[in-house]
Amino acid sequence: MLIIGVGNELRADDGVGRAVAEALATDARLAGVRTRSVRQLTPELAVDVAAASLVVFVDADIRLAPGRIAVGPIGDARPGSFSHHVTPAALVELARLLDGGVADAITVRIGVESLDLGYPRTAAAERGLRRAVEVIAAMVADRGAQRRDEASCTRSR
Amino acid sequence: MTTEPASTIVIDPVTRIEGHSKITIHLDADGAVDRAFFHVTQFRGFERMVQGRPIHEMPSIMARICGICPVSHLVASAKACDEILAVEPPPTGADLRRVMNLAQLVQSHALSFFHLSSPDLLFGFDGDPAVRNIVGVAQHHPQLARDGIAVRRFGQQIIEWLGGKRIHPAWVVPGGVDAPLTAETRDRIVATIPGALAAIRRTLDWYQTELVGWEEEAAGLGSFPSAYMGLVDDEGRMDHYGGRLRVVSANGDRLADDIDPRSYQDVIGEAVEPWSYLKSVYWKPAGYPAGIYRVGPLARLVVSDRFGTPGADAELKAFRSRVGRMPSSTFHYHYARLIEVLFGIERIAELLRDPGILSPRVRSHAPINRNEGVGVSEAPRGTLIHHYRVDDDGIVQWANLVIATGHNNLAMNESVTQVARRYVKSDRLSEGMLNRVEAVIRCYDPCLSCSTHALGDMPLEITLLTNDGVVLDEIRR
Repeated sequence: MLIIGVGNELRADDGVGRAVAEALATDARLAGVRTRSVRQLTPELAVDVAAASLVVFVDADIRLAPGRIAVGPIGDARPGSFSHHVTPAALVELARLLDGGVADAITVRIGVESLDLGYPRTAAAERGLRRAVEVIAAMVADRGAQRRDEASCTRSR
Repeated sequence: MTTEPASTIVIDPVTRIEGHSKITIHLDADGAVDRAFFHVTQFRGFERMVQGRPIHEMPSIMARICGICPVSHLVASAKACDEILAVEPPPTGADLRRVMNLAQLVQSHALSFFHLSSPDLLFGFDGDPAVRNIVGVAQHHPQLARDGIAVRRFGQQIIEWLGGKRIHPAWVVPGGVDAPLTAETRDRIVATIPGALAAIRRTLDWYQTELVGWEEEAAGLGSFPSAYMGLVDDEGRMDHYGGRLRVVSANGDRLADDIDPRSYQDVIGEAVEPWSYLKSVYWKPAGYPAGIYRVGPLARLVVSDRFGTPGADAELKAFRSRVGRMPSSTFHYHYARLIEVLFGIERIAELLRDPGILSPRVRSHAPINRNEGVGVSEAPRGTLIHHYRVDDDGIVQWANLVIATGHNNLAMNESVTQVARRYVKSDRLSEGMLNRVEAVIRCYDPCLSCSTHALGDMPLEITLLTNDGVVLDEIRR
C-alpha cells in the first residue's frame, strides 16, 4: 500500500496532503505502508505506484467545506498537454502501461480555506489533517483485516 | 519594435515549455511574414528582491527561481559567494558540487526529451494532441517511457540523496557543500548507474534510427548560422562546473577563447526590448542584434573539443559525422541533449570512483573578503551567470543574472521567424504552423521562469496582425 500526499507547503493549506503523508510515515498503526510526500505528481512516481496494491492520493481541495474529508475515485485519466505533472488517474494509467501494475486507487480530499502564500495552515486544515490521518489509518486497518480474512478463507479451502 | 509590419499573428500560450509565452507574427504589406516575436510576458524581479539580503542566504534564495533546475542556480550562486569570501572550496567539495550539477543536468534533460519532446518525435508534429503526451508515449512505446522515467529518476534520486530533497536542496553552500558524502550514499548512487546507462544507450540507438525520418523537418526548424558559446576546461573538454568561456563563429572559427567568466560584461551585452521581460543577450563585438549566439547542449557540443568520457566521446564522433561539425538546425538540440545525459552519467561514475570523494573536508570558511563576485556554470539550458555586489557586511547591494534562455533569446526569435516564414501562407493560422512554432521553441527547452523570474505557470498564444494593428487571427493553448 502506498500513500502519496501532494501539495505546496508554502501555500498555506495546500500542503495539508503532504502533512498527512508525513504524519502517517511515523504512525505505528501503518507499519509496512509506504508514504511519499511530494509537491506535485510526476511521471516518475509510476514506478512506486506500479509496486502497490492500493494507492491513496491525499490532497487539499478548496471546493470542499473546510475541514471536511471526502474519499472518492481518482477520476478521468486524460492528461493535460503540460506533462511535467500528471493527475492521479494518469499516474495509475502510466503504471499500468509501463509495468502492468493495476493498483486500486482512491483520493482522500481535505477541504481547506486558504491557498495564499505563506506557511501557517488554518485551524480548519489542521482539523482536516487529523481527521484524514484517522480515516486513512482506519482504511489500512480494514484492508489488513480483509486480507487476513481472505487468507484464512484460502487456507480453510 | 523596429518594424512597421502589415499584419501580425499571435500564438498564446506556447505549451510544454517551462513557463508562459506569446508569439506575434507580423505580415508585410504583401501578406508575407516580415518578423516574428517571442514575447515572455511574466515578471518576477529576483535581482531587485535580493537587495538587502546577506550573501549566505543567496544560494537558497536563488534556487527558488526555478523548480526544474534549482541546483544550477545553487551552484552558480555559491560560486559567486566563493568569490566574495575569496575562497576555493576543498577539492572534494568542488567534486561533490559537480556530481549534483551533473545529476541536475541528467534529470532536466530527461524531462525535456522524454516528457516534453518525445511525444512530438514519436507521433509527429501533426500527431493527435490527445496522444502527444507522456501517457501516449507509454501506450505506443513503453520502453521509451520506461527509460525516460528511469533516467530522470536517476538524476532526481542523486539530488535527493545528497541534498535531502529533490527540489530546492540547500546542500550547496558558499565555500563548498554542507556535509560530506557517506560511503553508503555513494554506494547507493553507484548501484543505480548501470540501469541509467542502459536506458540512455537504448534511447540514443532509437534516436539515431529515427533521425533519418526527421531530416526534412530539421532543415526548416530553426536552421540558420549562428555563433555558439560554452565553458571548456584547459584541455578543451566540455566543463559544466568551471572552465573558461569559448565562443565559436558559425563557420567554426574561434571568436574568443579562454575568457575569464568574471569579465563576461566585456564581451556580453544585455539588450532590453519593450515587448518582452526576457533580456536579449548578445555578443558585444558583433553589436546588437547582429551578435546572436546559442548556448546549451548543442552549443557545448560545438565549442568543446571532446567530452572526456569514453561513451560520450564516441557518440560525439558519431554526432559530428552525422550532422557536421557546425550544425545549424535547432532540431539537433535533442540529439545533443541525449549525448550530454550519457556524459553526465559517465562523469558521475568517474567522480564517485575516486576514493577522495569521501573526504570530510568539503567546505572552506571565511569572512567577507571582496565586494563583488561572479559565479558561472553550465546549466542544462546553457551558460548561467550570477553576479553580486555586496557591502563590507556582506549585504547584497546589486545583483545581475544572465540566464541560458536569455542568451538564446535572439536565436529563439530567429527560429520562430523562420518557421513562420515557411508555414504561414495566408492571413489564417494553421495547426501545422502552430505545432512547429511550439516544437522549435521546445528544442531550446526555454526556462521562462528562470529567465524572467516570473510568477506562475504558463502556456502559449499566437496572434496575427496587420500593419495597422488589426488582429487577423488568434490561437490559444
